[in-house]
Amino acid sequence: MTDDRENWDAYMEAAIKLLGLTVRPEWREAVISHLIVNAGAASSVADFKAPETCLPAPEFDPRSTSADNSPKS
Amino acid sequence: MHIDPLYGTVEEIAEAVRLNEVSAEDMATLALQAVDAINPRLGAFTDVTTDRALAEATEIDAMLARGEPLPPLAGVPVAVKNLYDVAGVTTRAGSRINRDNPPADADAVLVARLKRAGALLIGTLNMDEYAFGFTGENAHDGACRNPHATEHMSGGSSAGAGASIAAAMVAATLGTDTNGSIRVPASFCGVFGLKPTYGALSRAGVTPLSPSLDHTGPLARSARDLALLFDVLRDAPMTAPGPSPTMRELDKGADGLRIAVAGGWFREKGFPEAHAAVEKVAKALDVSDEVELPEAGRARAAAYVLTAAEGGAYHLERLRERAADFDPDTRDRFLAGALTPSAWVTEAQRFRRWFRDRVSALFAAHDIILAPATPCHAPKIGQKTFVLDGEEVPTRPNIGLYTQPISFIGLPVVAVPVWLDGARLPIGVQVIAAPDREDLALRVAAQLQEDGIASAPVASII
Repeated sequence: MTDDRENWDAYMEAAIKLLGLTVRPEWREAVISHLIVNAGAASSVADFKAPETCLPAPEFDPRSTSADNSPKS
Repeated sequence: MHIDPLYGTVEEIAEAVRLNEVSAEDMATLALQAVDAINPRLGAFTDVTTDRALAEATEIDAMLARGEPLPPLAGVPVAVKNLYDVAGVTTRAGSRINRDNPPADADAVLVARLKRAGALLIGTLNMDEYAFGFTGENAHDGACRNPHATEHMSGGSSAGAGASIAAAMVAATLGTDTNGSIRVPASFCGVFGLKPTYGALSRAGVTPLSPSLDHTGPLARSARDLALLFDVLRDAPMTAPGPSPTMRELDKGADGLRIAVAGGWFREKGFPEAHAAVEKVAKALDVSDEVELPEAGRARAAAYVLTAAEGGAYHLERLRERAADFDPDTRDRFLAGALTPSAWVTEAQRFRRWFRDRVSALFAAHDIILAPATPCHAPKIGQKTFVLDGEEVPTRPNIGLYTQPISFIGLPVVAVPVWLDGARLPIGVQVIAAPDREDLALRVAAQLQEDGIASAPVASII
């Protein structure tokens, strides 16, 4: 997954259009490199296979009225 | 107290003002003069709030003249990372784009608490753009330089928050820490930094980077000051004069605390100084136990994914409209982050819960875990790579090697500054505690400072 530069190039091309972003030609290589680094990090996490009973960490507090939803704001 | 009041700690300055040995106006003037004289060589400040500082000082002096009790930070010069809203000042967030915004109409909650406690706000501080970096370099405002060796990085992203204290322009600052942005500049600049438990301090009025991981916290030149600041910032009930609730805990020292050194990931990769600093601290505390935080490398990877994704999403509109106005060093990473598949984020958050549970279990047998804060002394400004374990790797992301797994699960940490024999630059050690046990980490930090193992001398800037 992480070394398939052509696929990441194609992914970026499609995704930036759908998101309304512009990547100038001189930024392109750097953005793809960062995508590949992010993919490597994500792959490392996914390879671990945490138990399916392990739910995502974020919690929403319906009682909070603060802008940042942190307990002490 | 030192002959130059600005070299005093927060506690010493507040006491001197309370005893009328120095006026608050004198303290404001001294700090403003220090910024005038020193800042051009460091680039730590981006805005100086002269009128506000002098007005706040006048108010403190008037209270004293009326015989009223002074609040705990009366007359103490402070400054805040320019990520915090300050009424009347545009919140730059280290960016060019945000300086087109109108000035903030109110202080961030923590800035308001400093003001209520009598602190004098001297200005706002340089940082990596949108808090997305560890170097203190900034394409718009210039690099923030290390006061102990100005050709070296201050560390980031709370760059000016570390440098301004190390240079004694102010006595305390506020920074933020998503992946290490308080602990890295504390390590590189040789000051004490507290990253409290996730959620312990307000983030209201602070521009986010990655809300899942963002923390706020203080930096200062003493562990006792961090305890006092923490109590002020969390709005703990206080009676003045006298030590604040967390300060009172410090008298217990490190005695009786079960302390271990982090092994595995935290013993690997770093330069010799990172491990030597931990050894020095461990020896002083007579620590021989070692614990392993399982899968710490994956924890770092998961924090990396969350930061990229949340940062990219937060800045999506700015990336659409004004991508060319970003600092090139952050723009390309935010663009890549904006393209993150959602499944990666969910997996990272699932792993976060797993990792939290495993590390929590370690605190059944230990109160404190020691780990390096940074893999090396401050690199030179502009240094793009360094060699870790024989492999040349990019400097920027790898500075956070040891801090990211800890903030990933929101544990409280005090970064303590250590000077190794013959070293020209300091390096930090993380003193890590269980959630909501800032008091324990601060007890160890205070003990280390009292024993001379950790210290934050003011830099001699040549």
